[in-house]
Amino acid sequence: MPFDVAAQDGVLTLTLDTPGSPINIFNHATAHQLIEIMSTVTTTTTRAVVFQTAKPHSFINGVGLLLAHAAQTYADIERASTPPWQAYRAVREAPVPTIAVIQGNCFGCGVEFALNCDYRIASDTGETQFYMTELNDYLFIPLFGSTWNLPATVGMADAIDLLLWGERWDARRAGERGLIDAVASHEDLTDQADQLVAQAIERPRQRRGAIAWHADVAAAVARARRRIAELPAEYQPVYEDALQLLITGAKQTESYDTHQRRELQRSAASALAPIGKAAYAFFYLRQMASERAAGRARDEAPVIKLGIAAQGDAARDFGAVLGRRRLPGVTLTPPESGDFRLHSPPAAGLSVVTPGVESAGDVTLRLTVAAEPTTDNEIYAPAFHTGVRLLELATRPRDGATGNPTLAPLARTLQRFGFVVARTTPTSRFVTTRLLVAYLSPLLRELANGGDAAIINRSLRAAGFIRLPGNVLGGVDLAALAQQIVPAGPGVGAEVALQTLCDTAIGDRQNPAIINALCLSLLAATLSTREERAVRDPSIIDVIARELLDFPRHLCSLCTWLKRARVGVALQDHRALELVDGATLEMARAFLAEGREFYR
Amino acid sequence: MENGHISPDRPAVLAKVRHAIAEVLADNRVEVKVADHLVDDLGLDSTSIASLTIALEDEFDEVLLLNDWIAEAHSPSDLTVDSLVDYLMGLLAESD
Repeated sequence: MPFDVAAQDGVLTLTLDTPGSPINIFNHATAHQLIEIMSTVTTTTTRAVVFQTAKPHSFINGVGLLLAHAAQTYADIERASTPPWQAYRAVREAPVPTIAVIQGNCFGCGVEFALNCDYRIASDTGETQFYMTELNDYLFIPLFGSTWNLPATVGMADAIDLLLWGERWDARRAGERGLIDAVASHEDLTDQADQLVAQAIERPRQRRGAIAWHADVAAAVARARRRIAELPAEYQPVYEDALQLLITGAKQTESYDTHQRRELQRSAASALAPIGKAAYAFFYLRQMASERAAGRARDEAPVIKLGIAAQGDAARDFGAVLGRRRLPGVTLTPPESGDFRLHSPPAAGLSVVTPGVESAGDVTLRLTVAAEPTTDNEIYAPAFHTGVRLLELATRPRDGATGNPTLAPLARTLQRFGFVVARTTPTSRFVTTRLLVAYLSPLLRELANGGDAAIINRSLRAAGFIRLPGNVLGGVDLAALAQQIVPAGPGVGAEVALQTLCDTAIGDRQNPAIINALCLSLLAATLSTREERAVRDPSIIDVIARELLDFPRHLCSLCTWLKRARVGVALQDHRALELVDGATLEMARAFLAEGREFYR
Repeated sequence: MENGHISPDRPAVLAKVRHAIAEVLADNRVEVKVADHLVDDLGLDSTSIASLTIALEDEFDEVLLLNDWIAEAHSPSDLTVDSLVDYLMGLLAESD
């Protein structure tokens, strides 16, 4: 059963542990059990109900994308969402106080579940993250009450940031914004949760009502509308729908039931729309790339010591990021002088190595633009300073197809720190560099041909790229990047052109040839990655493209977009052909002739 | 599969699917029946579907996606072993 049930002194503690899964998922089995449990809760038998997790990395990660993905009609989604909705409702209407004790990821409907509890306390560790996945990853509207509960709990501006713009909040920030009532260290979580339970029993909380519609609330809505207007056209209706639901939820001018029905209708419409269907298919690709990097197991080495010997600002910054994301069981050695190295012995997890002393498990960190790995094990993150969570872990296989097994614990630990780890094999170029150069080369050729950076930026946005070159390259060393682009691009002046691209505002007009050229250029990079066997499967390229380039959600992924039909269209655009080199064209034509898609 | 091409032999595909499911469930003792529902009977969810995709890729030595199979269903309960075998047979036949 998903919930383990324990009762002591009238306090019912339900510990969620989704069977067979590394994360908790609020599936139908969970919903049915919870409905049954909550039906037995009365004020005579129970004083409070506490929800906690048995999985250290996950409170609740989701209801399961299958609910939205395996559906054709509104009736399908209504039927599939009824059990979880009834379970949430049972918690909301419990006759005794309910308390969520949150440790680990609290994503999407996990946030919505917690909002249906009267009180929330969270562990202040790096893995406790609050994030509304629905719109930000999958372009559909959440359907379990967040558009009603969020404004009342955190106010309109923060509700917009969380739900529309996908802000990730750690426990401290969630506490500051009012999403949770208390923050506790990992060690003190149980004691402080007990205190919160006692407080809840003594002073049950009343539901919050409508928020006061002051000028600052209206201003937050106006800001959101301006930002929505800058989104790709096909994204705007779903974002506007979500904002409208937040507004009606905040005002509470209709009943909760009426609002819930409206929320379900709008959510179903967004989930069934083609862009929604395409967007949440990416979920599987992300999971596949994650598993390719870290394996299926989620158990950790018994002792983990992550040592950092840093040199230079970049390495110190990386150490500082790790230091802020505290993880239970991970000891972080403060940055010292010397080379930055991570060491990953098979039995003891990660430990510090003396700078300069290398062993087979050492991993070198590169945070600046580079062409190719120079050692067997490197972490490459040239866009780290722009806030990109992507780490390319380039490791040379030692035992055939599976690669170096000792690095799986390292990948898992880095994932726990919140990074997206893409596991590649060292070849003539980092995959990250390949894609970055392929993305920029046609844009710089367009500039070299007299094109307008404002039109380039509008073309990218219209195609679905929310982050433009100015965002993608915000903290990247442009001089070093230009050196990588010169052989494939316009030659002299690449750094100046990159700066122009970054500094220019988005224009009004667009040029479809730019996206067609981008298609051909990214195809060539992907094909060379495949030919050199730099990745185990295309999902890894897809994740790099999403994290690094903000590859559009509604297109699902780079490799699903690069179908022969799409490439054929690009090859018909003579203006686009001027923006790529001969080798790229040759590869694109060979791809069409070969007749093999990246995915079946 | 031999030499990069797959003959869509249903019993062979079913055997590989059973093996892949057992691997995802980390339990070789589970008797996977053709009529089993992956979600309701075998307890798979969206994350384990991704694991299943990888296990199938390794079984067939092909890059596969199950997105269309899922997207065509009316409910997670429609996802059966039988329908998965049908879907894979279709995919593999396309490449022959």
